[in-house]
This record gives sequence, structure tokens and C-alpha cells, in this order.
Amino acid sequence: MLRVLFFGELAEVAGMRECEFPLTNHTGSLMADLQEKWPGLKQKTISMAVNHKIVNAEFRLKEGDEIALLPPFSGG
Amino acid sequence: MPEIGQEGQQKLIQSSVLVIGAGGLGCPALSYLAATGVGKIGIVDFDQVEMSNLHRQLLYDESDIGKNKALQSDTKLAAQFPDCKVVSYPKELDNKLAMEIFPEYNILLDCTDQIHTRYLINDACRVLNKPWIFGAIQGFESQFALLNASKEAADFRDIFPIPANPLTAPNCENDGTIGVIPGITGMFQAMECVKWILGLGESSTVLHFFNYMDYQKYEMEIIPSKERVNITELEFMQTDYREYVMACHYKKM
Repeated sequence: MLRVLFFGELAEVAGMRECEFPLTNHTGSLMADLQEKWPGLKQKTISMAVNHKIVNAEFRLKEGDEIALLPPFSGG
Repeated sequence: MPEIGQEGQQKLIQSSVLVIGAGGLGCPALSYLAATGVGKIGIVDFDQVEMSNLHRQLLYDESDIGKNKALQSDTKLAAQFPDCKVVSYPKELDNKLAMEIFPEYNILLDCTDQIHTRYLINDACRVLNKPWIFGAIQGFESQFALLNASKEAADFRDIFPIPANPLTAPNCENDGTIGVIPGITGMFQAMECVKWILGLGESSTVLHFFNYMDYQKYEMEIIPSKERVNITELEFMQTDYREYVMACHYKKM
């Protein structure tokens, strides 16, 4: 399993701040799975961090990884 | 403090900081930077003080309503901290102004709430090799990072290569905020700035997240993208950042 964390407005879309999610190949396929479960994520600008490092869409995942989904904040 | 001493105070006096945006993030950052002993502070803001700003922009009071924020914050800081040289730019930051004034400062703080301005600042700092500190809030959360601290360091495009859609992104004016949250975040930006001036900053580029509901902190290391392309000054000057940000979301008909 993977641990997925949602920040900012993404937590509102998912209705939670974190969850367990089935392991998938890489960050790109994880995003597709997440968007299928929460279609509202499709309209959002999202970057991903795996184990506290920002990664690109093709980053290979392994059991137990912690993935953070980050929206850019814009208030000031 | 042993980490600062007389040498550190000299560094602060000789330093110059440009704060872009004198609003919810900028007001606390400006006050604390001036109070800490930064020698020269520039303030860019084209906006006027409004009644709805006063709960979080504590440099202003009701008599400032309708007046320019850069000029009013300049007046307040100059009266409170006469040793600090304050320069105000009561205009909107555009490509030309960035190229004119950024070189006059050691480091910049992005205290704006506009997406296109953030990419403009990012690219101008990339062209000029200037470090800058990004800060932003949403709801009970905030994020901030020292970016472009060296040629090899990461920048905003390494976190968010594609700009958010300005028409759907949340903002304080529509969604409201508790003044304490931009207050804390602006002070984090000031803290990062003081640490950078004193040479006490981190060597890696880290994006910090805070949630003030339960005080949880989360940090992420930002690695410069391998696909990064260099931006020339000419390319920067030719980019209309408002158009660029919109074009990332809406194709021209």
C-alpha cells in the first residue's frame, strides 16, 4: 500500500487529509487512479512528492512510499 | 546571539531586501526586516489600502484607506526605523521594472497573491541569479521556500512547472483569511531572509508546509529539473506573464 497525503484544496476534494492507496507502478499511474476515484482532482494543478522529495510523473513507486499531493497556494 | 554577533549585525546593515507586495505577507515581513536591522528595504505595490485589508495588514489604519500601499508602508517604516533606508515603488511590477530594480537588491521576497507575478519574479531572478523567498497561504495552511539561492538551486518551476489557473485558484479577498496566518507566513519569509543574509540557511532547497489547525509541518526537498531550459533576458522581456499563465489553461480560439 501507499500512504497518500492531500494538502490545501486537494484535501477538500478528497474529503480527507490522508489515506492508504493500492500500490501502482509510478506517480503517473497513481495520479490516474486518484483522478478516477476523485474526478475533481483533474481540474487542479498538482505536484507530487515521494518520501519528501518533489518528483516528476514517471517516478517509480514501491510498497510503503509516502506520496504528498501539493497544490500551489496563492493567497497573501 | 553567538550566531549573529557584531559581524552579523554588519551583514544586516549592509544588506538590501526588495519586498514585492505590501499586503498580508508583506506587512509583517517589512516590519520585522526593518526592526532586525536590514540596511535598505524596497517596497513594490501598486494597490490601494482597503477597509477589508486592515485585519491582516497591520501597517495601515483607517486613515490610509484609498492610499497607495508602497507609499504608506514607506512612511510608517521610515518613522519607526529611521536608520533603515526605505525606497518605495508605487507601481505594478512588470518585466521592465523587474530588470531595472532587482539588481539593486541582494534578495527578494514574493509577498504577492498573483500567479502571473510569481512566474515573472521566478524568471527575472533566474536571469539575474537572484535568490528569492516565496510565500503563500490558503485556508489554515501556508507554504514558503527560499528559491534560486545559487545557480544550481531549484526554483518555483521545479515545484510547479505549470501555473495554476488564476480564475479558479482560491484567494484571500474571495475566501477570507484569519490575519494571523499571513502574519506568521510573512514572518517565516522574513526569518528565511535574515538567515540567508547571515549565511545560516539550508544548503538544499526545501518547500515548507504548515497547517495551523494542528501545527503539523511537512517539508519537501526540491530537486532542479533535468529538463530545465535557460531563460535569456530577451526571452524574459518578450513574455507577457498574464497571457502566458492564461494560455496554459485556455487555448486561443
